[in-house]
Amino acid sequence: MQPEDLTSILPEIIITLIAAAVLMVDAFGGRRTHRGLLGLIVAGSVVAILVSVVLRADSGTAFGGMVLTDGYAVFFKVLFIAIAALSIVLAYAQSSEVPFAELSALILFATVGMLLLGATGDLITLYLGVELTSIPVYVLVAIKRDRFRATEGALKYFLLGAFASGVLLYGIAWLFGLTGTTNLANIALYVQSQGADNPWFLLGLGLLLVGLAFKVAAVPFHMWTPDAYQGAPTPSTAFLAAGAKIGAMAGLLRVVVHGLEPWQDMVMPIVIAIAVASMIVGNFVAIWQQDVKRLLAYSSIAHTGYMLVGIAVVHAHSEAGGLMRDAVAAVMFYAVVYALMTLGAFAVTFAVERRTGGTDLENFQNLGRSSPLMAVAMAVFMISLTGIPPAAGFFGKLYLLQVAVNGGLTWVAVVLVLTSTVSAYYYLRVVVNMYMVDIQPRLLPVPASTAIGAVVAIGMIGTLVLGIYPAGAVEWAQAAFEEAGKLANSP
Amino acid sequence: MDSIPILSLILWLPLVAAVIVLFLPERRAMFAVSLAGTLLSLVLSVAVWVSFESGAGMQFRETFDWLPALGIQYALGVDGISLLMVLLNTFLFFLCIVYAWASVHERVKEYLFTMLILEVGITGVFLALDFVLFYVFWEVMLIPMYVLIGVWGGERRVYATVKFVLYTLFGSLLMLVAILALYFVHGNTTGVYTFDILELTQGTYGERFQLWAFLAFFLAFAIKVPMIPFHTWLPDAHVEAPTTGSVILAGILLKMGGYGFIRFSLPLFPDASELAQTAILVLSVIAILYGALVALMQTDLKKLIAYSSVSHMGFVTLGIFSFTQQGLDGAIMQMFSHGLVTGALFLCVGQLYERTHDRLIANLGGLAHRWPVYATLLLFFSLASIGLPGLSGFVGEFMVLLGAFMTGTRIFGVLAVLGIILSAAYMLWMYWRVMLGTLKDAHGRLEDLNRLEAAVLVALAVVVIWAGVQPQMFVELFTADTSGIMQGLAESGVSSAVIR
Repeated sequence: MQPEDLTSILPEIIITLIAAAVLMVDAFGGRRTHRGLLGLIVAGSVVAILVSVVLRADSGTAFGGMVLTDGYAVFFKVLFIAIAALSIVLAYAQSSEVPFAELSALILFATVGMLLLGATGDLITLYLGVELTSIPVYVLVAIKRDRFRATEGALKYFLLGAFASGVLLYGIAWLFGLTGTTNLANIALYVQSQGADNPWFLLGLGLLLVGLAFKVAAVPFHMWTPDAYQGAPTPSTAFLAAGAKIGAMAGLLRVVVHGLEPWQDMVMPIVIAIAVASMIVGNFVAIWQQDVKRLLAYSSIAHTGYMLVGIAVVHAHSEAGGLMRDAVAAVMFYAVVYALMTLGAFAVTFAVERRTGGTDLENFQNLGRSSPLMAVAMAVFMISLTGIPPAAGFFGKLYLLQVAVNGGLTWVAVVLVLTSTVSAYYYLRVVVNMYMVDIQPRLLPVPASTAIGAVVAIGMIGTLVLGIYPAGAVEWAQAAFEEAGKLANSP
Repeated sequence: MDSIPILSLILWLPLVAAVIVLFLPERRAMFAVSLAGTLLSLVLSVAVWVSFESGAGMQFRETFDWLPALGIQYALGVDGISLLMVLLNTFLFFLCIVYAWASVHERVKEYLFTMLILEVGITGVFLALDFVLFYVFWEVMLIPMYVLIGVWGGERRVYATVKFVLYTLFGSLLMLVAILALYFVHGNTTGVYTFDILELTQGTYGERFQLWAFLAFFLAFAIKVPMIPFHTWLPDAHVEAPTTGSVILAGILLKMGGYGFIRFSLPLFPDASELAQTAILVLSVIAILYGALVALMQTDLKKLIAYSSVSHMGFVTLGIFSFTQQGLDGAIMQMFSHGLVTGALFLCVGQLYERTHDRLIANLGGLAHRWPVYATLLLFFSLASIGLPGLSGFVGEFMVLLGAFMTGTRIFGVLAVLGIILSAAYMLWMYWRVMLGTLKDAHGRLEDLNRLEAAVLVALAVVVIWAGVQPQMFVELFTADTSGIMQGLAESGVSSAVIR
């Protein structure tokens, strides 16, 4: 280990230190310190983001290629730290009901895992990241341990998740046994020189993909999602949906880009199958949901499917050129958009839950009259999730569709748009309940918690800004990939 | 004149007004700002008309990079076809806001905001010269329409509005995939990757690709027009929509479909259009006859006019796919005229409903005795709808029929003429049952139109007469552009003859 190696994981170190500090202060200071803790976390997150961006200058590899500090990693570091900070701000609104300090620390620890996933250059780092993300999240789901649904969801998530981690590790072991290395770039080199016709490769590869598919909640490995999302306290759900999922997605994308190119003929059909299944199952099952958290859980499965479409074409051949860059950038851009609108939607759901005591569609009735701003924000998130302009979801989908068509997967693009039409039905149901139902008006406004309001506002402004002027974020994503691409060729 | 981005002003002024409206407390002030915004848009589009050079292609163009990473531009421009649609659009929106001044009292701020955003979306569709920009406006307009029907609509509004959105979204999303495919096919053959509509419409594409892309575009436009069998959302949406919603829906939204056929389907996919010609002509004639027959049987006034729209829009598709200069010009005149006349008819029904709270024809009667002004205006627009010579409806239908006969297969023209006869039957019968006969007791005290309401209808009537007496003024606006489209078709070897 070189001293420079430590500076390359400085953001991870900062986040870990904040988490530790939060636990210590809480142990000695108790509840009165919550406000101060929130300030510490937000300030620390800003520092960590700045450090990530500044470190971008000396991009390269660290720990002998196990950790990458390229633009791709930086892009996701900024995103993940922001998601974590926003989730913690959201959780602050219920700091009297849940142990706020423990919850914040858990979110921060999980974030460290996500940061590693974005920076992974090695299967070992990948596994570390996955586990470091998953274990705190199991606890986050169950943090209200006296609630039946919370324990049920957490138990399902934990049992299936532990199993998936095992599968992932087994796949890694196979690949190591076959190639003699766990470094992604070296695996790719090995296969390029030795050929990939050994059928055992398929086994190792399949196990690896299954493990990751579980973590991103793709069909058919999605069974835990609705229960865990519904059972967890809403701020935890927001982190689970926006953070943990994108974290695993960043890892998966990394593995596909750097390690699996020689196997594209095997990987592409698998990813396409999972993507199509996720879009269809997620969108159709969401139609029947009455609980908005479950509805968003199934919709998040569908969005996993959309992003997987981009991952599927990473290695596809194109006459237009630059397809790999565009495919990766499309997934990255969609990840940002998805995080913004998901956080926002869960934040509004959280506000409604705190006022009405539930998250059923009925609880949203007449929100348009009782809390106009919350309702407008929710409408924007629903429009964005459907993919209608001028919300950012439109450009997210447009970019994914573009790479799909470019990569020759027009039929997958057609599946994407047809299932999007289906999704319009259930997203609009939320809007219908907010604005178009005549009942005794519940004129009680949802409580104007500054914390929730801030998250909703950031989500909404971000969604609209990226929807009207997406050029900056798209260019950043593209530039981030160019750096990652260079690394892949010089391991 | 070149330095002022006049099209952008026309496009965005309603948005500016909408944002200002959000911060105003008073109904009067909100209307003043909305009226100012829509009126300025109207005045500016008239100014564009005045300085417009017909036959000079796309004019007043504005181009900026929007998302250069994906080759997407903010590009606006007008030719004669789009200018006429923009004029119709800004005119109807201004009148709608005036009408709302007298009739909308509930959730006024939200109402005006929605209407103004809707105007931005629709104007954008006609002005956009970049495919993605076009698509953005095409979809942006969905949301305000959804809200307009869903919030201010009638009893079954939720069903109607969700059906409207799902139908439209289904068609347009497939079009999006086709647009992207077009982008790559054009790029791969020419090396120029662009969403520029003018550039793309000049390219030539393989027959197989044309067929698939044509189908995707066709779905989007056919649902909007609406062509049979994609029309079932229309009666529901019309019946449940508030009056101004119906006016905009019938007056302009349906025109987006016809505009799409003319602007995109014919120039981009001439071979596929030729293949589809017979089928579309058959569907058009079915729409004309079926729409008219169903209108004849309606008991609800709004439904009657909704089905008459299906019938009249059948003439539009009939004209476009006759592949003749006359047919194409006629289709555009028919769109313009239908926008004015049907818009006016929906206003009339709205005014009737506000007074009687009833739209069922059986419950009305003899109103002409009480309401002389209303009776005169309704009769005028009913006759215009039938296509009385000297009024705008006649011009379009006559030219379309001419085009239909020129295809060489007379049966389409013959059957379409039957549609006109049927339209006389259902309109006059409706007028007889609603306005003549004995007055119902409950309606004895109701007041005739006030000045404002009458003024809105008179303004429409003036343009209807103008377009009927002086059609040349409007036709020469766009006839150079349509002959350009015809020339493109001829170069691709497409002839108007149905049987070859």
